[in-house]
Amino acid sequence: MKFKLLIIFLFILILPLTLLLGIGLKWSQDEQKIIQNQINELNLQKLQLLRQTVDSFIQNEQKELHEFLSSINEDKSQLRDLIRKSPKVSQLFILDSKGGWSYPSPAMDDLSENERQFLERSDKRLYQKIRQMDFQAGEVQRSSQLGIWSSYFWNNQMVLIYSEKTAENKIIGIELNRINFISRLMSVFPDTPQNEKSKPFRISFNDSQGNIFYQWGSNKGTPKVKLNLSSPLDSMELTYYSEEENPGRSFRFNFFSGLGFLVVSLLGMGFYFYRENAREIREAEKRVTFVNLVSHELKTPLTNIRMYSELLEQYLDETDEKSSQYLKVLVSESERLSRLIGNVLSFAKKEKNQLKLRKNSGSIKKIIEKSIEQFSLSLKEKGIEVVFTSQEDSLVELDEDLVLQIIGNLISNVEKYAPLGKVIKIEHRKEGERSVVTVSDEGPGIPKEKREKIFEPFFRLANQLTAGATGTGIGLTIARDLARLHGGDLVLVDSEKGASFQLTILTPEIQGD
Amino acid sequence: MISEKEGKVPSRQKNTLMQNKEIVMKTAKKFKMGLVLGVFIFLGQTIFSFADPIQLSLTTGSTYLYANQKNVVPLKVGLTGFYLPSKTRTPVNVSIVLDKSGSMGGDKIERAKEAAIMAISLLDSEDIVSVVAYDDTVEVIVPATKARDRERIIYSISHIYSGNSTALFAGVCKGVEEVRKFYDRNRVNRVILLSDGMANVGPSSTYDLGELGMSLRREGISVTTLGLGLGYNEDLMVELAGRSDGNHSFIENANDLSRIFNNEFGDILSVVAQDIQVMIQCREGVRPIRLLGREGDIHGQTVITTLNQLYSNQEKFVLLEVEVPASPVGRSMDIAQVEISYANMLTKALSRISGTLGVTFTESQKEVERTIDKNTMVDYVKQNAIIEEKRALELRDKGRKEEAQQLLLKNAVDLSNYSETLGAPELKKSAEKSKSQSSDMDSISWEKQRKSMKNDQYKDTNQQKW
Repeated sequence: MKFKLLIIFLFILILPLTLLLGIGLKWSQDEQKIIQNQINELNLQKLQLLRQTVDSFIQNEQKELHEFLSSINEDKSQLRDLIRKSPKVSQLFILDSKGGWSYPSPAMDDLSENERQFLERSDKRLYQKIRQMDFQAGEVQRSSQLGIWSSYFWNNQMVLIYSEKTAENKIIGIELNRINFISRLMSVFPDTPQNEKSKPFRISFNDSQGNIFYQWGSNKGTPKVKLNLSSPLDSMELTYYSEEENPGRSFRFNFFSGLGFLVVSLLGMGFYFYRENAREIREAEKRVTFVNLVSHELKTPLTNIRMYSELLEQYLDETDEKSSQYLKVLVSESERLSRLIGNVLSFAKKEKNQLKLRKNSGSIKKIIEKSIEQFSLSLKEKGIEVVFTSQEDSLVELDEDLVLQIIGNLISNVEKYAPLGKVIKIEHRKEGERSVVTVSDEGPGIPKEKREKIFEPFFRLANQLTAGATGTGIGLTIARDLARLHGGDLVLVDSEKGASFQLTILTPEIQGD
Repeated sequence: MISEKEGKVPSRQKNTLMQNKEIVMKTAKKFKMGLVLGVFIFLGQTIFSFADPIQLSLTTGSTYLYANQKNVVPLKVGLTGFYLPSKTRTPVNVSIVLDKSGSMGGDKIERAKEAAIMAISLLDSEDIVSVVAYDDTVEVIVPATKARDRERIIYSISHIYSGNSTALFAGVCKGVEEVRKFYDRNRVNRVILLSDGMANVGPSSTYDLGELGMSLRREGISVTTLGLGLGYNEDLMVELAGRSDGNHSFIENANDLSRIFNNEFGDILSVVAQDIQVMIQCREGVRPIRLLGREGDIHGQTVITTLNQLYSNQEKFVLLEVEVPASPVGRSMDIAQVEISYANMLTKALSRISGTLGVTFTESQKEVERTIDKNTMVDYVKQNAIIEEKRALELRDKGRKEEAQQLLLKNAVDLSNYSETLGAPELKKSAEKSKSQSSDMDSISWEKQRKSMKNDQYKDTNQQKW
């Protein structure tokens, strides 16, 4: 009983909580995703701003390179001199209008080592690439200038070239010193003052393989957002790092702590009620136990009273009418007490499933007669006539005390609740292995809607006529249970007047004699 | 053999002279004395202004060569900076770049800060200084500013704290950015890098740092690299300094920092000429083979190399090995024409000097030996020896230690022999050094030995005084 209650209680508690938890988790996850996306979006914008700065740098660079190229004349030694003095320049080159090398040229006999290496790495790639480039359409960067940027990879490093077409349809260009270019590009990025070391972000300027050229910001975090720079630096990117944030952390914290609080208080309440309930049950149990114990205690003295009363009856002078009468009352009342205690104890046993059938042999008729005898005094007092019809008197297998108890309860009920009917009819007949006993009265009867309820424990019909009657409300309950224990049943049958109970019990014949 | 040509003296120089003369005349108490004094000062200044801050010396290994055979001959172009009166020194634009990565923590960073502060006290109010510090990111501690704001500068420097890994490239670039802010061809534009560690953030290869150095040289900014302790990458530091024509030093102990900074600033504050271009035009038939110890361009017969600056009272030289074609006995010929152009820090104008080198052919061994220029030959031998040492170092790096050691021992023997034939005891010292380097290769503290070797090689190749 207790266990079942606990299960139910837990079920009631856990099911909705689990549901809430599930919803909450999903909700917070979604929130988190949304917030993370927003953060990423913001950071991406930061990177985009930076990219614009880089774009301006490139634009400016292009202007400067354009001016530089415009001032060039094609004299070899002047070109070499210019290269020697230009930190930006790795090599200058000129292609003639047919696309062949004008400077430096493989035909020259005084190529320096640098010039030779330039030709070696540029020949195939640069030559083809640039020669085919259409300067007017397509690859023109940024409006008015007729120059183009191009890049290729040599020994895993990016080579950056800027070239323009001259009026005579020649191509003049610069292979930029990569390191110098990167170092000047880095100047658009900020440095990291000491107090910014603690800020939770970092941005790095790196190549596509993750090799960092330059970085600023704190030193913690993992990459969160990347952005490629625009052409011609599209092999380089900006990366935004931040620490493992828990966005919506405070939301989750609030939610779950609220939930936790709820759970704790529900649990607390639940346990409180459970304990209260358990306590009440315990109290009730104590009372029941008490009653049972009391009844049990009463049984022994009562048995003695009955026994000695009966003994006294035998030894009494039959002529002493008054004593006889008084004794009869003693016996009757002690029998009544016995029945009551018997009912209580039976009821207690029934609750514990301890009712037992003790098979014996006996005669139904004789038992009924005995029972009638027990009630004779009180029945007479109330003016109730007893009409007993019995078909037969064979010896059968039965539990005598049990049957006595049942019959006793039925008669007692009539005595208590239907005395105004002035009659109690008891019929006994045998149907095969069964014995059927019907006890009827002509009292107020039992209303149809209460027909099943009367068999419930502690239930007593309440109406004016029965108001004053005493009783525990367990009589019919016991009677039916015992009847069922005895292989039969007790039912209320339809009757024109009053109540009529039909008892059926299994009473197999006893063989032989 | 040498002829000196000068650039035009700008007219304001003459005005200054006149003003000085007037001042002198005004302050002279005795009119006669004043006049005499005035004349003397006038003359002195005139002489001084007509003297170049650079003295050029051109020599060949020997002026007589063997006839009827090809001769391989070293040509030496020696440039010496003149004495510089301190009042007329060139203003400076310097950026000090300090490594503040984790390894510099504790004593090292403190000594470095002290050294930097001490060095700044050598500057005067018109000099421009900036301080940059880097670990895995870069911080501009003191943006380029006039050195007169000493207190603020010192305060900023003293609050540098050490941090994480090492963005050496970024540190140097930010230092260069600061120098560019007040870049002036009439200033000494310099970056001083102090590092005790490897570069590991940003471009960190020896090649990349070399490329940076090279482009900075073209800009007229040299980087002096100071390596502190045993944890820095000496190849990288040497390459950066070498290609930008700065100084380099291996500093074992942080306590030496102040002294080293002193030396560096001593050089910076004594620059007499900048943007020096040396062009050696070889005559027909004469084939330039290689430059020893310096970078340059060889275009056929023309050899061009540059030096970023020349310091007062110091000689730097360019050694070119040429092959002179077989010539008959008695023939004399010019083998090369040398032209030097540079920015004169005294006149703030472009100046030129030029000269020619010539030889005569003979059959007589005595004649050849008689005309040997000892200094030139000693420098030639030394530079060749350094080239061998560098080769030995490469072998050792590849794990071929025994070969390396053999090479050094042979080097020592060659140096010894030359010391005899040339009568040059300094070559004997070099021989000893080569020998001990050979045994150093066995040492457990090879890290230190290697840094020491590179340090010495650098200083000899670049004629660094300290």
